[in-house]
Amino acid sequence: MQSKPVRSRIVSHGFIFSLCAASYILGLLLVTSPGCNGDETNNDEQTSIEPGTNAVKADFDDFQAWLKSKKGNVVLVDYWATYCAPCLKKFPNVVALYDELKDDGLSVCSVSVDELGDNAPEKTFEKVNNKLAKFNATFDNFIATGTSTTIFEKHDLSLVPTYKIYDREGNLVKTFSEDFEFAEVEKLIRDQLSAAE
Amino acid sequence: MKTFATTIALVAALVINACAFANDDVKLQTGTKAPSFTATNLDGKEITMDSFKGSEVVVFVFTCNSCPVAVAYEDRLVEFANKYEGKGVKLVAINNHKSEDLEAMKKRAEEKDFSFVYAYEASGKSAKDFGAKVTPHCFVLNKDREIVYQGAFDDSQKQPTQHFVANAVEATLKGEKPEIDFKKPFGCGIKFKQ
Repeated sequence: MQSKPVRSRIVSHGFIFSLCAASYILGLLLVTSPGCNGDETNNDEQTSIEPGTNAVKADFDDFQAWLKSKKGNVVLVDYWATYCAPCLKKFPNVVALYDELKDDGLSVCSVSVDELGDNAPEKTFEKVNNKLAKFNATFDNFIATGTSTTIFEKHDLSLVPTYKIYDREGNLVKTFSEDFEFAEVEKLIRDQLSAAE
Repeated sequence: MKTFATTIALVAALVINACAFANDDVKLQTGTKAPSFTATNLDGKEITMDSFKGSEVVVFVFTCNSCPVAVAYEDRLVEFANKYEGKGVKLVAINNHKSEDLEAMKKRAEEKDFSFVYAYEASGKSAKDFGAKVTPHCFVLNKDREIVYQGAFDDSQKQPTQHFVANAVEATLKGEKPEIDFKKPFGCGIKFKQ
């Protein structure tokens, strides 16, 4: 077999190398440029959940569909808002609980009641996602769509934080809303997980 | 005797049912007279319900300086107060926030040109007595100081299309019952001093 002359081999290898390097750099640019970290594209895909901590918007039907899909697991829904200090204070507890029990049958989602609005919803996404990243909330995260009145009425909320716990059949077991300690939430979840099916 | 007993049982069942369906979000049902209260206005003077004797309608708004939702509504409250100036409607904002004080409130009132009463009630008793849960939480009272509407000011922080308080005020001024007497309020939870 005739071997290629050294010079042309270097040239062809160099060409391939340059192509690879260029692709890599282009890839880096795309990944790090604003608007391309998954938020914007995800807005149109209600059903896909972005890996990582970023939130997707969800109307009430989306939320109910998510809930239905988690039947068989005990479910904790954490209603919160970026402006709600007690919500933020309790958030790490939810994350810790999820990290510990996600492989033991616990499903968790957060639902932010921060209003998206039609004018610059990306600002809300930014605020929400910043917090979620800070807490490393790797469960499913939603931002409820609609006006505050719609959100509060559909989800039957009085205030945030509100934690709702569903059993494995998808029935609402308890709503924690006023005057509670997170330890009570935790206890109920553990009880539900260890309850006979 | 049997029919009487059955009737009593039926009535009891109905009453119990009615209580079960009563709104958990409402402490004082529509038509209940508003509780008395005492608060300190920005001049350092004490105010009570009697301070507004001359007003046809009083709108209480439980609010505070720091809650982003309450702050987002400040301009709307100013607009509302200006709109109803001289029309027999008094807007009274009450702050129960433990960590805030008259100085901070005075500053905010000046910054934002508050044209309404802004008073401080440190113990949180007024909020508790009214059943206010979040800031902002509104209560519209008629001339007999009965609650005719309570809850959210309107339906959206960002783009309201339903103006619950305004509608309730308009109806009350006409001598009518507001179409909507309750809408879930949204905002920051009010923490009461233990």
